[in-house]
Amino acid sequence: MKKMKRWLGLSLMAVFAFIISVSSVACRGGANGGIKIDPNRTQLYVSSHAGGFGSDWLTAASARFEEYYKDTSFESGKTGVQIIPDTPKTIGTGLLADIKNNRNNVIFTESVYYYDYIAAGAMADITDIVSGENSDLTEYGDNGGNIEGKLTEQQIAYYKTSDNKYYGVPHYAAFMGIMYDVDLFDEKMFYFADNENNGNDGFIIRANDKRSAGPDGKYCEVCAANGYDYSNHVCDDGLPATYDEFVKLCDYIAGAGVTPLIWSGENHADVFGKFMAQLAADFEGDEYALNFSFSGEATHLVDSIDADGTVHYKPATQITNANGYELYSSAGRYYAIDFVEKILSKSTYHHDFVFNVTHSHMDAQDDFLYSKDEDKRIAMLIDGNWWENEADSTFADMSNGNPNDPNSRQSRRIGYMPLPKATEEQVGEGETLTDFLYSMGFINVNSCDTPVKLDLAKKFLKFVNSQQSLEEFTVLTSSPKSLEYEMSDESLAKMTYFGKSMWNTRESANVVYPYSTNSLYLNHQSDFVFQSGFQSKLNNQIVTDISKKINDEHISAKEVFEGIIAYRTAEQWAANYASEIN
Amino acid sequence: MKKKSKVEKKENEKFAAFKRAVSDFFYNLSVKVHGKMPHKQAGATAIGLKKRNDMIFYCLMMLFPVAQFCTFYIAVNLNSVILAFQSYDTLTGVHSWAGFDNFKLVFYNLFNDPTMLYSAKNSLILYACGLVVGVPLALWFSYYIYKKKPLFRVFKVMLFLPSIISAIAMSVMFTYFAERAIPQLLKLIFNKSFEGLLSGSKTAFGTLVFYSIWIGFGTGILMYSGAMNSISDSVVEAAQIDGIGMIREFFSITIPLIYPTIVTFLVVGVAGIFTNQMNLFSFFGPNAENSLSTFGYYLYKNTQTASFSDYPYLSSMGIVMTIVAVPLTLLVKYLLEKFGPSTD
Amino acid sequence: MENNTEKNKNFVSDESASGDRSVSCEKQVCAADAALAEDVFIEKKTSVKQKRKFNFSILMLILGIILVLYSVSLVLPIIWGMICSLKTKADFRTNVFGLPEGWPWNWAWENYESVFQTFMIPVESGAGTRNVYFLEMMWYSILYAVGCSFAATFIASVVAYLVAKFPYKFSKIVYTVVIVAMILPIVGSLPSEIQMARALGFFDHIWGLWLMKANFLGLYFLVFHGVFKNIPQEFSDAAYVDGAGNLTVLFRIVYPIIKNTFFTVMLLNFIAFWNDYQIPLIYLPSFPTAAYGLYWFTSASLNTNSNVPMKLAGCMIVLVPILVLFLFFSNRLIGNITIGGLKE
Repeated sequence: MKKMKRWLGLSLMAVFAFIISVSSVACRGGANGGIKIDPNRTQLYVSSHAGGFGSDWLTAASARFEEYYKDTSFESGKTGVQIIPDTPKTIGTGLLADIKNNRNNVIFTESVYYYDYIAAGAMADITDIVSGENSDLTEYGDNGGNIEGKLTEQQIAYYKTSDNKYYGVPHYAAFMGIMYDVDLFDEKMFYFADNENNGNDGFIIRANDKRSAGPDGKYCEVCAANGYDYSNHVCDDGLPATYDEFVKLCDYIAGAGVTPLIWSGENHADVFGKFMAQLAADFEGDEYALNFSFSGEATHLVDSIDADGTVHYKPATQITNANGYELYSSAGRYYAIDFVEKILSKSTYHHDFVFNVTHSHMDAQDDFLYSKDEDKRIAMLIDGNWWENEADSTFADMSNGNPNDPNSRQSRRIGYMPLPKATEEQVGEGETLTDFLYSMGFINVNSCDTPVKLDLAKKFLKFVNSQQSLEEFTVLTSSPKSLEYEMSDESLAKMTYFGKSMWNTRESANVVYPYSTNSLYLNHQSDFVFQSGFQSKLNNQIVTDISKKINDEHISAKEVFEGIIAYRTAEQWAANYASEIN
Repeated sequence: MKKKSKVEKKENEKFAAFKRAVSDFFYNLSVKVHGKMPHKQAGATAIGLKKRNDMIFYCLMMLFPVAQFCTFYIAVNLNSVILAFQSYDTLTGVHSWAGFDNFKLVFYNLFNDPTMLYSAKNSLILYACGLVVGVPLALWFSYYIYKKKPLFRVFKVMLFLPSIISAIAMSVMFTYFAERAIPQLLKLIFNKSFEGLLSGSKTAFGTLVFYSIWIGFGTGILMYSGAMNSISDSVVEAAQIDGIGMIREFFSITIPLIYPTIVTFLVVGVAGIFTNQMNLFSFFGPNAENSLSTFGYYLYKNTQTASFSDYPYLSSMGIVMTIVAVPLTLLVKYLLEKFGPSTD
Repeated sequence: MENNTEKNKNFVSDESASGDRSVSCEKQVCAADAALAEDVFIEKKTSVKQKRKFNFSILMLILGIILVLYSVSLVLPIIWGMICSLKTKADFRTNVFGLPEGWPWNWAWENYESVFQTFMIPVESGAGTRNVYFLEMMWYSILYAVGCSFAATFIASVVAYLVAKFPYKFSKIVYTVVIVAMILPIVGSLPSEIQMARALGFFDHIWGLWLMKANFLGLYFLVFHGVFKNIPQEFSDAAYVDGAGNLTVLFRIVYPIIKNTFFTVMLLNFIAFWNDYQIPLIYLPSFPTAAYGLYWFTSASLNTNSNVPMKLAGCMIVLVPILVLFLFFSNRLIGNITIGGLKE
């Protein structure tokens, strides 16, 4: 016994020694890792949260910034700037807890409680470069204008404090949506025909059959002219225009031996929480902002729903802090649940792992991409717009890093599907997106102690919001930033198919940001930011994870919706938000 | 000399002020202690001298631990207690006195907020399962080891193994095993698709409770078998001469003799009702289903996502839990001692 | 039997070795007391228990079977994890159960290689940023875990000794504080804790963490308290009569008696600190430990190392060193620790 243990110990020691020797070999490669400070230049420390959008954009912007100022001296004895990047994982309160000792001068991060950061004195006043005397962006190649000019009214109302100051600038945009494999759709002709009675359930039979007008309700002239060649053109013709059409499409795809949908099982609650909010926002349009401002007229409040799904509306209702709970009965919510119920109605509509706790968002991306070479292909992925940048290494693996390989990120065509509409009447209304990440760029307050750094930090923050930098960001990440800007044809030509389709949707869409300066919202941010707005009372149980519940017990959207109303009572609202109501 | 930066200077000033405060505090303390100490009198006995020495020794040895406690427990947490009586306005950044408003809301939610109700239920079930399944098993296992039955050394190592392995590594391996390997195995046997143990809404809670017990034997076994080993052999010998069986011995000798240890363990465990996260965060992150929540998870999750305006509510909830936990602990202790076996 | 004599030898030789540095008369006192202590405290494995008369009992058989099942259920996920860590990403997608594809030399050993290459954390340094790799993390882990576990164990034992042996009113207060602090949940104290650590200059220094963790709160205080309560007063009284001071008694008489408990508690603390990633994550940004590395690694949002086999390989790498340590010391770990009852 004893001997055996000694042997076991010895052999484990040997394994340990082996590991150490292997790691020391591995270490040699990394001994030069990291960045060296250049004593002849002035350093600027910039951090970018290590999330799905990556930090390639920062590397590129830094290089141009360094080049731009290579002959300028900011400190005596030094010429030029060196940007030292940092990619921390900490966000939110964790970042705030120790920010005054954070070395980084400029910080790009997400999940920022803007007004908490201001109250904590974490951010430097940057009014002069956003809207003030130093805000003109001409020096970085823009045709005049400033950062404030690139913000929407809703953004200005939120970012500009009551004493007319700015402390932060919005950073990247995050939208939840459906990505579809255009290569597969083209190959299998998963498009709706204009002629519903063409003998093929309304799906096209030949690639150049006239396709339906899609969710925007308009026939695309370019497509009609070039025979629906989507190799270089992004278009919604032939895509499902309504929820019903989407389900029909799922049936058609499943019938062709392809798995219609995949999403991350590990994050399914989060995916659906955000996706349903997106669907609701698309239905409600600008009214979706009421959920955060609690002031204005709500015209989509549901009075009752018939068994066949016909919705009867209440007369327009004025929303205030006192009756905010009424918003939980908005039709957008009902239709969002309806959509989820529809795609969960058959197990053939989705992949096996969509509720599996170990199936991460990256697993879902991998499954989606790898399925191209496997027996069972996957047609659509529900994820955020950062997914493509996040899956960059999978593309590289599949294409051996060769951009001309058919499996590379540059070659594969995956589109951002314009959301189908809840009802026929809504087709053609245009899309409303909601950007939920609360991401922001700002200057760390401790930079104010060193005027040289503060000056440089301001220059850099301005620089990354110049036209050229915004376009570069969009090209590199395939994702828009949360500012209003145009893309040049030249930049569009450099983008991947997904990037173009995302941009196409974003450009024509209306964006609602989930914030306001209403005190009810601000003093209970975590309730409105992190809690699901779809918690529902079903059989005397309060269910948060309604997608799972619907999948397991096939509860109807109507029941779930009525459960939400039953849960969000006036009494509950009054008890929780008493101080804001009076 | 290098010029110090402003921040550093400020930091140093703060530090110096703090140091001064601390040393003043201890100076005052020692003056007080000296005042209380019996003064050396003419003809003081050796015992009196010893008493004085004891006091000096005691104070000196306590100095660091108490100072450490004052800085890293009291000073650090004081803020949290004060917050419970305040409210915060995000737009202006002003804290104002709120009296017992936060507590009122805590009590309202305690009876109306479903997550709190689930948390209460689950936390109690988890504690009860530990009490009914975990503790008896740990006792029997300890008994087995104490009696040195076959392979006891191996089992000793096995039972303690989960405590050794990093919680991250353990939960990563377990999750993949429960979610990927087991459904696959079932599929092979029954030729039917199965959900993972944690994904399935019917199996999730059971799996979590199982996991808590399954990896939680370590410290219990350690304590119990330690206590059993210190049982005097003469008692056991006497009993065995009387021809007592294994089971009898367990119930009428072993358990009564180590009962104080069991009580300590269970009483300390009461606090676990309010702090145990049931590993929810490592399995589900912040998205665990409502009906699986526990108090520990609820508090942890909410502090993770909290904004400034949430702190007053959360810290008053912490205080409410303490107020509930202390009498509950005393009650459990009283009950265990009253209805436990007598130790004669 | 042999175990006992071995321990006996150790005990005596330890004593004489340390005795060399003390006065000779004290040495005798110590040796005598140690021998006495040994009589009382060291478990006697001779006598009835040892007479294996093949006491067949159904109960023990059932317990044995349960323990075997338990061990299997524990080892299975670990072995499965080990096997899967040698599969390629594609192999794991289709082949969840079997051995990795191909012959052993074709298995995905490169997973480990790439884990070693990607298992790193960039930290700030005066001259820019620097990548810290596994080996360096291990070194920080050792410094952090050994220092903190010693500090925490030592302080807890000293305070427990003072509380158990000196019946001042303050002792009662300390005891109550420990019990209350175990129950009291604290929220939102992180910012003030960081501020305090900064103000005292503890932040981002491993020694600072030693001091921060040198507190007496927690279960192990109770363990030591119980042990000290059980040491008969005669040992120390004899020493006092010989003119030994309080310090001498504590370090020459008391600590040798409880050194097993001390060692065990320290090892338990060591394991906890070794596996802890949250504290290094916040307080030691420049000194990432291996557990912090694993957390960083498993929560990576880059696709390169997010696949299951690589995550499992990362787990294995962190798991093995601690497993080795455990197997070496497992004998010491279990059976040497007792915890008494809670006093009024």
